[in-house]
Amino acid sequence: MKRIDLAAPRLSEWILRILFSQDYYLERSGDLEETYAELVEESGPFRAKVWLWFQILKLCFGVFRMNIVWRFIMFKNYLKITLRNIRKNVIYSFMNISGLSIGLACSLLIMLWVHHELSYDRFHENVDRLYRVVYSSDDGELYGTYLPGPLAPYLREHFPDFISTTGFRPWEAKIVFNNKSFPSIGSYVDPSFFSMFSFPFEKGEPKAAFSHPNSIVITKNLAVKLFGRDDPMGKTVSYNSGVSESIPLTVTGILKDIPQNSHLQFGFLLPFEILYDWMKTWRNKNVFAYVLLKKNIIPEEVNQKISGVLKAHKHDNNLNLHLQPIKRIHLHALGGGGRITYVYTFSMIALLVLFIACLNFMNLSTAQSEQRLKEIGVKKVVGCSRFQLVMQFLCESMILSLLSLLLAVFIAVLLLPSLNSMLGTQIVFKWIPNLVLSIISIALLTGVVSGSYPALLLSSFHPVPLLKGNVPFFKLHHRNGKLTEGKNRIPLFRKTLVIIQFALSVGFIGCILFINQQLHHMRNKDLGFDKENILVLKASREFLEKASTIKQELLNHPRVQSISSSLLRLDTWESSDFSSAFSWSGKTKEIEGLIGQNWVDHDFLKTLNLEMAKGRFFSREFSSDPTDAVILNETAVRIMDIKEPLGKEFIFVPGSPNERKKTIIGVIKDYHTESLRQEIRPMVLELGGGRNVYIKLQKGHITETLSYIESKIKEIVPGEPFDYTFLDEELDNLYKNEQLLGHLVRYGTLLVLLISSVGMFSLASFSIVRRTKEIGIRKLLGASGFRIMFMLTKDLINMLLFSIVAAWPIVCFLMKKWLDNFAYRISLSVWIFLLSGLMALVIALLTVSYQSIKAAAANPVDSLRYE
Amino acid sequence: MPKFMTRNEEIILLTILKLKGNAYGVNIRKQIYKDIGDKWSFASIYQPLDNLVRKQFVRRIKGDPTARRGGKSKFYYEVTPDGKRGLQKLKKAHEQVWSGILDISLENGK
Repeated sequence: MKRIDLAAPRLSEWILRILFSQDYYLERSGDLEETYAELVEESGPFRAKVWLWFQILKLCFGVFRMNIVWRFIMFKNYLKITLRNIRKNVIYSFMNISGLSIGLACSLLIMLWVHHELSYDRFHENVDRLYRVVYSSDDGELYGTYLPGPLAPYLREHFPDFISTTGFRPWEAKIVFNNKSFPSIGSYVDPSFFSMFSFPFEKGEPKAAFSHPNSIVITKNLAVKLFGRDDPMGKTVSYNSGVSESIPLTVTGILKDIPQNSHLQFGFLLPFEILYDWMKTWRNKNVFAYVLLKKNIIPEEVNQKISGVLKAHKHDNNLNLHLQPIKRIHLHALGGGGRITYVYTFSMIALLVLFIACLNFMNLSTAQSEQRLKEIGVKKVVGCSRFQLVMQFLCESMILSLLSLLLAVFIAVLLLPSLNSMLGTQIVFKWIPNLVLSIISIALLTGVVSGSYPALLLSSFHPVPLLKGNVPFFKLHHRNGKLTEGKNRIPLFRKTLVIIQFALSVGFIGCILFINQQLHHMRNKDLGFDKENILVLKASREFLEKASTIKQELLNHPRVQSISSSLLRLDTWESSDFSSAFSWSGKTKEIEGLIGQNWVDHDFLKTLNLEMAKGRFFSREFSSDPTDAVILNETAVRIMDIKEPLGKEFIFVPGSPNERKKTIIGVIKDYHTESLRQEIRPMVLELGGGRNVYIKLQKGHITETLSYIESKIKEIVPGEPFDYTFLDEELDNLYKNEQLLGHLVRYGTLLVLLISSVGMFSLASFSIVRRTKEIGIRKLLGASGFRIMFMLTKDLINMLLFSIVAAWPIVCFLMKKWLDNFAYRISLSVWIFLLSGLMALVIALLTVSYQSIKAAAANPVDSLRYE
Repeated sequence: MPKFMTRNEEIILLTILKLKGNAYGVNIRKQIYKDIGDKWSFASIYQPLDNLVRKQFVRRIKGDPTARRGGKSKFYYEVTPDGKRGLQKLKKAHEQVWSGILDISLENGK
């Protein structure tokens, strides 16, 4: 019998060697080999081998099971020690956990918001092939989305690249059923709309919805309002567009409610056939055009083909068409920028807050672990292995960070409703795998990193000096040999953390101060007209027909001062009727760009308290005014460069069949028709009036006056809804995005300050506890309380000053970029920088003052007896 | 010792006693096979053995290496006084529990 045959396979030896320590390996391997040899002799090598491997497998299982049991028992021990530590330092633990959880909650919320913003329009099946047609001028200065009505059908007929196209013309109208009327914003679309966009139907067939022209498709929301619980399908409603007679329409479909993350929002849809002729010409630009590309078509090539379509059809000589992917519409403005900047900004804020919170957590847990050197010493003496110590600290900090994660989710759930109301969104807490994974891994990573410092460094020390209290650790931070000095200073690593945190606080305070100032500036800037106490109504056609009676009745009330109306909104600048083409007598140079246009009535000047620069306003005394008079604003006159504008002839669309000539009768002082991001642009006013009614009220008793107005209007035009706003509120809407930014940065500032104060507070108390003896001795030798306070805060103040100086240039850069968005803006004043630094400094000193005063006032005997 | 040992531990402890100083892994396994007729796996021998060692019912003694084992030492097991006491206690408990139960044969027990 050869020895070789009886030896067990190498691999089995190796496995056993890994599974067991030396002695046990010898025993087990020996026993197995002995039995194996016997088996080989008895029943041959194959059966022996099978038996051997079976044995080894069972051994593996046993070891594995035991390991898990022991791990679990150890984990129970770690958990116990962690809980004891939390209980021992309730305040610090609470601060530590809450700091991290606030940070996590904040970034969780922002992540949810960002996810919501990025989800816009992604629910359409064909989202990658859906485009909106937009135009831009040759020089790239001018861009827009309103296009001529016939463009969409034209593109479909003349270019093979599109599967289908649709126009989209939003329209504010009233839907009447059984004398109940509801104002709603809907849109005219082509029948192909339903095959392009994935707005699911609740009832009705998408393909048959617009099979005959007098159809209407309404959303569920509107259907419930109009019909309650009845089935709306096939019912006839009357459609009142405000500019023509009411039309009867049959309901042919109910759409599920439009999700909030769609940039197209509407209450109803109508076929384009009903649309008025004046919208169907190439001359007007007031319809959106959407296209669905065929598969595998490169949009850039299509751009080249369609870019000249507008030029070919009208006198617009400098506008090019191109495609904009619909998934970019919500976030990316045409001229660059847009909401995406906010998405970036807030992702940055989330990251920063999270970063600070994590730093804080690490900072505090490392500081706390230094209080436990004795524990480590004792553990080592009784035979705790280094691996176990490492595991213990890691487990501990991971338990803490997971606790904070739980708390964070709780906080986020609580805060979500108020965030939704602030942003006007309907974000719900839902399971988004990426988000959940990333937030969990961030929490765990924070735990691991903050635990690894004590785990790896502190566990490496020899136990004897640890137990003697002769801590070798503090030497690590100061290599210059001055141990007594260095012993109590704050380590560099921690210093850096504090400086970063504090610089961020200063930065946030600075930013919010600037943003507030700019918002204040915009709200209070003289716009050239009065915006206080002006009621804004949207008039219907019936209202306008009886406008003079209503006006008469309302003016009878002593608090109604004057009433006026305009065709286009006061806060928009539109040139819908014609393009850039206009001219005037004595024209010396060509003008680039458009002129804005509005039709206003005689009382416009008085109601809004505008001022004339030259000439007169429209007057009832001049019978020629309705046909022959225009008023320009100062900017228009300046651009046109006419010295004596009064009496000159102003020509609309010169050289075309629609040419109109009017006389300039006056120049109105510039007033802002758009947000203050824009410079004032040229405007021309004609006599007219329209749907936008402005009623100037006297101050006070507003509710009483409102109810009077409402009753009068209802009396004269029954069924007219009384939806009103105030002009100043409406203008505030122009700055919605800026206010949103303000809100969010304000909350961000609050969070950053909160978190970093928590950090500073606990850190200060740690360093003071460490210096208790020193303070006692100093007091004993005659140091005054003030002197000791100064000593304790000196380090901190130095760090703070440093971080203030570091924060300023960043604030300066960011705010300069932001303010560049505004044509009318504040300047970056020095005092705001100083103020932000000062505020941060005061907050920091207040945070640490409690402990330093307590330490300075303590009886030295107590502090010397400490330990 | 508040708790009794498990049945496997009991069997192994008795086997070690029976083997009288010649108790090591392979022998223990063979003896169990002789007594009970089951071929236990080594894993199910070592686990109770380790527990017994931890409870200090048996002592582990390193023996000499043999060629048959690829030059690895044998490890002998020896029952400690504690282990004997534990066995006595267990036996007494057994007798107490079984006393009074006369017949458990399947035919009459229904």
